[in-house]
Amino acid sequence: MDALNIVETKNLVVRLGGRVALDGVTLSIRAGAFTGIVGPNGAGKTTLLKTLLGLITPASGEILVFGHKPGEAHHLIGYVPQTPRLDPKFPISVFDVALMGRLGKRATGDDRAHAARALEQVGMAHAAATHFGSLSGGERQRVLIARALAGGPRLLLLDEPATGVDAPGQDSFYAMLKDFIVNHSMTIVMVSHDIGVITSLVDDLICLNQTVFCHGPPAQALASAMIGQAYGTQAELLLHGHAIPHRAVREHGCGPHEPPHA
Amino acid sequence: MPEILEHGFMIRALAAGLIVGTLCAALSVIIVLKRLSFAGVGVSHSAFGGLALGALFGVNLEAAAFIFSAAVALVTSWMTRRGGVSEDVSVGIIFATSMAIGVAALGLMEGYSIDLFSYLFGSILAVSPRDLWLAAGALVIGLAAFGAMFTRLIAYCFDEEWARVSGVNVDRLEDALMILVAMTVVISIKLLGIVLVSALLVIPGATGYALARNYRGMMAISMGSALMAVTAGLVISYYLDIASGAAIVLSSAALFMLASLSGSAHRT
Repeated sequence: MDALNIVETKNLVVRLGGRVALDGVTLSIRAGAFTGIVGPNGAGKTTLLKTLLGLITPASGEILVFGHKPGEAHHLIGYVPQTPRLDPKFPISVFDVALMGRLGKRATGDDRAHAARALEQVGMAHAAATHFGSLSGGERQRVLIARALAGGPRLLLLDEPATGVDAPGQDSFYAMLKDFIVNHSMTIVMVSHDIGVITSLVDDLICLNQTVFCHGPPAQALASAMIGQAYGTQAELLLHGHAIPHRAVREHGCGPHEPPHA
Repeated sequence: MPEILEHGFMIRALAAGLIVGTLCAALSVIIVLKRLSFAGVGVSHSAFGGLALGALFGVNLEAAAFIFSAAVALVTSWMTRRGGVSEDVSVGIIFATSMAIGVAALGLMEGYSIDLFSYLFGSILAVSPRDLWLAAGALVIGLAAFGAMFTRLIAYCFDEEWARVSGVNVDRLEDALMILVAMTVVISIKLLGIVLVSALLVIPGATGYALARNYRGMMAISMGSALMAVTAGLVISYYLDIASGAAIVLSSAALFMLASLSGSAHRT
């Protein structure tokens, strides 16, 4: 394993209910990088994250997370699931949800301090005593990120974290993620279907649809005709941000069209 | 001293009742939060199969009931995990089958001597000094195990996937929970009866759920309401001469109704 890579997979194959969900996935995640994973619905993005977490056992292939088998590195990973089906009436406070992030960690005696600090990091310290279910969707998502941060992870896996967060909330949300990388030496892997937003944020982009179609810096990955193949018959990509400030429409299997008014 | 406490059987029933109420209330919090009430019904009904088999083969009834119901609960969990059968279907099949085994075993016995009515619905006369010691032992073991598992159990109820990601062996945790339920059912049978014990594994937790905004508060309300229901139920059973299981469950249900009304008034 390359010392600079904290995740490496080689020819990873995952079957779910007789269907091939991931087929020969080979990729690496660089330490300290913000990596985005994009792909259409059913592409296996969530399956890939769950395989990295050890929740799903691959049929074949190699996978190393911090040099360990998946599941053996759980103390180094923070996970924020996609719109988790949590009971909004569950009797639990925001602080107790964050404190749950210390589960399975070596007891240090200051678990509560870790939870409080994590809530501060996501700007939810003021709501520590609030009932979790009474928060808005965006606030709940921040608390779930605090839960992931409370364990002191070196790798943060986020599955569609901006779902349910309104547009202004998303901007500050993504700024917060950037801050984790810059100021907290964290590595982030984020799954998203919103290619436009993700390309303006990430250092590396992985286009997935059962297998890896492109992998590299966003400009390079999107310039490849492979993104069109990853998205199937027709892909309309609204690309904004600094790297590729234009709108591109691609037909299946074809090279990129240059839009008339870039 | 009130007349009711002049009887040794009544003091034993009250002491056993408080033990049973404490254990049932603690487990009911998890059963309500994880929506496992059907499994509670199943474990208690399978204890009937164990009791009848114990009587048929002339072995210790409590030991037979505990081993049989715990084994049946573990087999049910295993079947569900293997896939192909949903939990309610496997519970529906296996626990009805174990109840049928109990009825068949009773049928094979000529002139069986166990008091079926008190085993089904509970009796204040049924708690022997030996039963009380057994219950006290179960209380110590049960609370120690429950306390050790509590944080993991809450995480399992709130977000099972998170518990797994955090390294919790959820399958073993579920097994340990089911063994605790089986143990609690067995020590509760004398007072509550097989048919009614499952109610005390749900109603106190539901009462706490209706009122509390935090699981610690839910646990406190669950415990408080269960102990009140057991005490009131045993007193009612003594004076009205009705089965203790029925009196305790009706008291518990009354407290739940009050909590529901108060909870909905509080939220609106």
